[in-house]
Amino acid sequence: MRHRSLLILTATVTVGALSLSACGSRDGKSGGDSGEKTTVVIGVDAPLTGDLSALGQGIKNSSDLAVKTANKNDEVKGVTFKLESLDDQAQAGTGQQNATKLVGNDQVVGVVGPLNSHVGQSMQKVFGNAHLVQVSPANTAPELSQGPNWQKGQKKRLFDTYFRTSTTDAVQGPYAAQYLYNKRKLKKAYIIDDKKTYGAGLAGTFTDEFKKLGGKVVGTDHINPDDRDFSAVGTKVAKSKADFVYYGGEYPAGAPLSAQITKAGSKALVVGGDALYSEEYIKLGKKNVEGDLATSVGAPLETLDTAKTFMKDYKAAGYKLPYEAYGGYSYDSTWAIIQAVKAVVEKNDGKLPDTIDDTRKQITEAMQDVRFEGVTGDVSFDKYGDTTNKQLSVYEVKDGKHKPVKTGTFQEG
Amino acid sequence: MGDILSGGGDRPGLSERWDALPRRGRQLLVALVGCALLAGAAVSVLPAGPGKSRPAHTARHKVPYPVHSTRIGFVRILDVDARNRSFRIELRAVTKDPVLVRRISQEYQALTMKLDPAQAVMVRPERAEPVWVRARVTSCRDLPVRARLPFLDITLRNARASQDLSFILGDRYARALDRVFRTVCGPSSRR
Amino acid sequence: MQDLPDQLANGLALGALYGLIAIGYTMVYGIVQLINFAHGEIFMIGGFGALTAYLWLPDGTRLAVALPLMILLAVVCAVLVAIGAERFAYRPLRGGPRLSPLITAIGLSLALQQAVWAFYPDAKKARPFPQIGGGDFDLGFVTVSREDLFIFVSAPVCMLALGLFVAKTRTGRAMQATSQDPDTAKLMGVNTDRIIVMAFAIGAAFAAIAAIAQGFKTGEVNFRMGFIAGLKAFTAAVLGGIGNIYGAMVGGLVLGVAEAMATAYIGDIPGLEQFGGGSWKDVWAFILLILVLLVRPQGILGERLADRA
Repeated sequence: MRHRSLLILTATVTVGALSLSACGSRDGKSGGDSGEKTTVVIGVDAPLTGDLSALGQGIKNSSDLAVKTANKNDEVKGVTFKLESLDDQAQAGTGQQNATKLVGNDQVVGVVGPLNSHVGQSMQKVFGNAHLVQVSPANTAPELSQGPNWQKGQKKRLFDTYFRTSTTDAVQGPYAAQYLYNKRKLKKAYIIDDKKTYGAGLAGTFTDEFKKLGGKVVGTDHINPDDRDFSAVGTKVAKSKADFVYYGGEYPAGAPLSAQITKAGSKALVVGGDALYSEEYIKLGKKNVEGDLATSVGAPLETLDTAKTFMKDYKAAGYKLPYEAYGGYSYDSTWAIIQAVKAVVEKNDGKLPDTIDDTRKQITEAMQDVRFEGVTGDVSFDKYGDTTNKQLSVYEVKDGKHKPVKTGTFQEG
Repeated sequence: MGDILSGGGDRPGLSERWDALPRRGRQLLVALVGCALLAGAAVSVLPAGPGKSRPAHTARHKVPYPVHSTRIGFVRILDVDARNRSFRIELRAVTKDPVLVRRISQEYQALTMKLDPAQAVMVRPERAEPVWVRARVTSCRDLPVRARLPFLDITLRNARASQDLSFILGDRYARALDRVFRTVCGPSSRR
Repeated sequence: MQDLPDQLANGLALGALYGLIAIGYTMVYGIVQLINFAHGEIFMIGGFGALTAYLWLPDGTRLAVALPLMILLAVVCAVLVAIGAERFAYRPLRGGPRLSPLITAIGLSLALQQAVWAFYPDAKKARPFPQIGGGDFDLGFVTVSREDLFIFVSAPVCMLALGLFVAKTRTGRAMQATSQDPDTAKLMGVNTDRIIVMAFAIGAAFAAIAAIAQGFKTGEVNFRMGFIAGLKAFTAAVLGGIGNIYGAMVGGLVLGVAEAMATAYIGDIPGLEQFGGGSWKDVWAFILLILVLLVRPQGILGERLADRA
């Protein structure tokens, strides 16, 4: 009997695994005859499970909404859009596999995502080689578009397939530093990061500017993003008498970190970037994160009339999870791909080029000139593939909600 | 519909169908297509502005918030007076809706700023408006040197709302400001 | 160094938590020589059990009322799963090759993790855990957060109860007998199957209590919390001498204090700046483990296993 139950279990698991993998592989026939509609696929890559899934699901749903809207309004004549979303679990390796898979599917004309900068880094090359355009709604590490030496002023674009609708940390970190030092008059910082591309980069740009302003760094620490016990770090922060902690990292570790710093008896508030700007941060940290600050990309969606339409449509579509920090950006990223497809279709007498390689190449080229009024404001890209609409806001946790306190516009020139 | 028909002319299916049409049918169709093209051109020209292809516009009648309609850029720093530790900044404002620039400051402890002349500046959508600011360094001790992203706090008001916004003016402003600080306070002001 | 008392308290709280989990590893190993790698997941299920109890209660229930129920449900869930695992995953393989139960344990661990991930509502991300709230206790020389009080009370109580149980009761003595020589114990009329189930159950109950402590400490439970905690607890069990229940607690405390000290002070040593802080603490903890095992291969309180084998 025992052996049989074990056997049944094994069989069930195997069948389950097989059917799961079967879901992923579908043989697609691209293109149709002149009268029929061509179906093209827009890929989405984001962490759909795991700690960061709240943000990832928001990205997926918002892209889905964009695709549905485009199909409903017949945005591109003769073309139907479909979404294929893949889960990268916030891991660079998985992201790279997903990228390869999307490249291999010859219906895919563009990819939205990923969320994490280090995942983005691993996907770039795959898409670059295949000339497949990628628009990230959330990658903020500057080197993804401006090359590894951006800080020394040697900006160099590595992949002409990479675009993003979010602001970079090149602005986010220093803006937070200026705001805290000058406006809040907070002079003693404790810097903590999680050593990932995003977190360490953000903490770096922040520290740099904060020191130049005359701020004092009273301590630094690095944590493992998988840890949840930060009591020792909390005690260190409490003893350092820091005015605030700048945390370069994401909310799954950020929320318990902030809570445990408070529990250690410190009055320091925790400040971070867009990856702390999530409802989950407050749910996990509860009262202990009251007063914490986060900068996030863009102006508050409530101030945008286009965003109100988006919020209404999102609600009407009945998604179970909220659109979170990157919803508007994901919608715009997806819409940018749709607009690029539209431009290519218009250029080629109402249809897509015959080969998928040609289609992808032309869409990548068209992306550079895409311009439209999006959920998050005017959307267009500069010569590095970065958004030209560089806005960001500071949010404060007040009464269990992120409330916007300040919005900045970055304008080079 | 017009662009699909005219654009799809080289497809075999369509050209065959075209040949099969009677003469009068063809004339009628050409006329119709012509009309449609004209109408299409008119529609695309009338609401000026590139690619407004967003679906479902509501609240069209409302003016957007200043944060979305107004851009302020840095032009130059001039009239540096080392004795008085003062200088003037020229900014340039462009906007989509009429907006009032009411107040400008930079939250540095050792720097005061005010509009020059002192009354609010009205910016209209038709043309870029210069905005002048007079700044004074009150103490050389607390001045940051080589900061990368100094920003101005600017209060803007339009028909929709009054907003207190930051304008980050970028690298050129940062370096210009840095140069002024060195001129005013001497090269070894700090560090 | 003036924060030494606080850091010691942090380390002891963390260590007591590791110790409670480590009891499960050490008891099971002591009796059936099985490393139950699914124990971390039993711990995680305990955490979700406590959360479930809390969610069942009406909003605004005082924690003083909720806590006993949370402990109860956490222990019940963890014990049931542990007994089920023993009955259906390990017992069929008893007497088989040593590696088979080990692989089964790893598979079971993954299966439990995925089951919670898939079936517990909203468990695909971290679920917030209730907090005791209120400020910390300032005892003058040391401040202790209210959340850590739970572990400081529960760990000694659990250890005392376990010590008495093993030393004084019939079942406890039968347990000792089984661990020393299962075959002879069986011949003497000890129901070894029952003893093995007991070992699993006690380990699971302790893990469940540790899970509540962890929930209080970090403010959340998530489906992956068992992996790292399990790994650390296993390390603690080895460090203290696997098979010895007091060793497990001592190992846990040593490991916890080592982690806190490494986080707090390694970075202050000139030349080691970049090796300090929270991200290197695990490295230092394992260096300590290696050093201890070099000097005492049997662990701090372990006995030589030469007479067993």
